[in-house]
Amino acid sequence: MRPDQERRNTVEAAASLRSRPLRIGIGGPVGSGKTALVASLCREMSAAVSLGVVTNDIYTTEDADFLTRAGVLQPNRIVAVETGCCPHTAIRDDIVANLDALAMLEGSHPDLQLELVESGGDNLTATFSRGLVDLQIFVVDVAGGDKVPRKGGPGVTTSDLLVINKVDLAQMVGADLGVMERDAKQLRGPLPVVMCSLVDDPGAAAVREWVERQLCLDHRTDRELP
Amino acid sequence: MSSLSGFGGAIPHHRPASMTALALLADSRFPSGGHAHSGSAEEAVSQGWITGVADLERFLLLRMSTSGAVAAGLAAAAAIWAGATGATGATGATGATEEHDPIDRMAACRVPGWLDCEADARMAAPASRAASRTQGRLLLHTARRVWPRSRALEVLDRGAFGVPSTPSSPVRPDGGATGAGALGAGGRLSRSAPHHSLVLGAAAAAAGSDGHGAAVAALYGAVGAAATAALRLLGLDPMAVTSCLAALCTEIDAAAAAAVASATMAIERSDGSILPSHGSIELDLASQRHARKEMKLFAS
Repeated sequence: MRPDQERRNTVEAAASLRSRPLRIGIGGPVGSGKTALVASLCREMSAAVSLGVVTNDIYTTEDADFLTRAGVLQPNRIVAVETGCCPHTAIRDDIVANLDALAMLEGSHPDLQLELVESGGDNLTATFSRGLVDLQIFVVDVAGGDKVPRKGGPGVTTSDLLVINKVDLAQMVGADLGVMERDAKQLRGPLPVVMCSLVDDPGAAAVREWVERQLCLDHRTDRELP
Repeated sequence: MSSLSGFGGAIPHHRPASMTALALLADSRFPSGGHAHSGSAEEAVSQGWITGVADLERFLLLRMSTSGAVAAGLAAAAAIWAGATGATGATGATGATEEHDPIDRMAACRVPGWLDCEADARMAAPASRAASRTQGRLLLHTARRVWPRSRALEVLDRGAFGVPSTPSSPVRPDGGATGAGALGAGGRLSRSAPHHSLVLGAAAAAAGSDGHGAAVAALYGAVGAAATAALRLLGLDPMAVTSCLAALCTEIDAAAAAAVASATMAIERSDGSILPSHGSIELDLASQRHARKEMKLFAS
C-alpha cells in the first residue's frame, strides 16, 4: 500500500472515532494571511481529506468569495457567516451562527472529516470558544512588527499552534525572526510555533503537517493511531 | 388571517413570572446571533434617516411601534401557549406535566403553526421574514441547549415551518426560509425554522417568565439591536444612546401590556387577527434594499 493511502486510512479511522468532523479555528489580526493559509491548506489537503470551510467576515462573503475564486474547494463546501460589525463575538461569545453554518456543511456533506473556521481579522485578544472548535491556530505576521509575540494575548499564548507568517518579508520590514521565535516560545512553553512563508512554500508544509497529525489522533487518548 | 381552532378555554396559572428570566433573555449577551442584525438601522443610516441621536430616537420609536409591537404580540401568544404546554417529563422546570396538562394536546400542537402564519402575514418584506427565521433558528439552537425539558421548544424544533431552502447562504434576500441546520434531536438537516418571536415566547416560558416578559423582551430586542447598530455605525455617544432607550421604557411597558392583552384574547378565541399588525412600508422597503446590498456590515 502506498504511504498516502495508509495516511488516508489512519485519518478515516480517527474520524470514525469522533462523532463529528475535527473543527480547527484559524484566527489572527487583519492581514496576517489567514485566508491565504486556509486556501493553501484546502489546495494541499482536499484530495485526501473531506474538507469544509466557514468564514467570518466583516463584509459577509469577502473571504468566502476569495476561496471560491481560488478554486481550492467546491463552492458548496464554503459557508460565510455574517458577523455584524463584531467578528470576534461570532467566534467567542455568541457562536450559534457558526455552529449553524457547521451543521449546514455537515448536513450537505455527511463525509466531512475536517472543518476549518476562519475568524474575521481582529485583535490579539480574539480567540475561539472551545464550544465552537476543537483546536485553534493563531496567525501573526512579521510585517506587524517583531514585538507582536511579546505582546502576548490569549491567541499568542494559548492557541494550539502559533504561525509566524510572511517570514520572507522580515528583512524588508526590519523584523528579527530570532526575537519573534524566542519570545513566542518563552510565552507558549511546550505549545508549538512554526515559521511560515507562503511565497517560499505555497503549500505551507509545516502547518499542513501539524493539521494532518491532528487528523490522525485518537481524540480519546490524544495519541496518534497506528 | 388563518382559521384557528380548538385552543379556547382556561389558560392555566403557574408560579409568578421570574424577572431574572426576563433579564437573561433580554441580555444582548444571550447567544442567539442577534449581534449580526441591525433591525434595518444600517439601511436607515445609509439612507440618511439616522445621522445622530435625535434621528435615532425617532427611528427607535418607529421600530418599537411597528415590528416591535408585532413581535411582542406573537411572542406573548407563544409564551402563553408554551406556558400551557409545559415541560417534558414529571421533573420539568416549568409548567404542567404531561399527565396534568389541561390543554387539548392536538389543538395545542396547531398553535405554533398558526402563529407562524400570522407572523408571515405581518412581515411584508421577504428579507424580514428570512431574517426572522434565521434568528429564530439560532435562538432555538441555544434555547434547546439551555432548557432541554421545554415541550414547547421541542415542538418548535421538530415542527415544519416556512419553506425549506438549500444550504447556501445564511440569509437570502428572496425571503426563502433559511431554516434549521441539523438542530433537531434527530440530527436531520431541515432548513426551515419558526419565526424568532415564537421561539422567544417559548424560551421566555421555559425560563420561567410569561407573556408579558416575552413581549418586553421582543420590544426591547427590536429597539436594542437597532440602537447598538447605530452606535457602532455612526460612533454615537453610548450614554446618549442609552438615554434614548431609557426614554422609551414607558412606551415599551405600555406596548407590552397591549401586546399581552391582544395575545391573551387571540389565544382564548383562537383568532390571530386580534394580534398587533402595525407596519411601515418604508421599513419593509429598507429591509428589502439592505438584503440586496453586497457591501453591508449587518445581516439585516
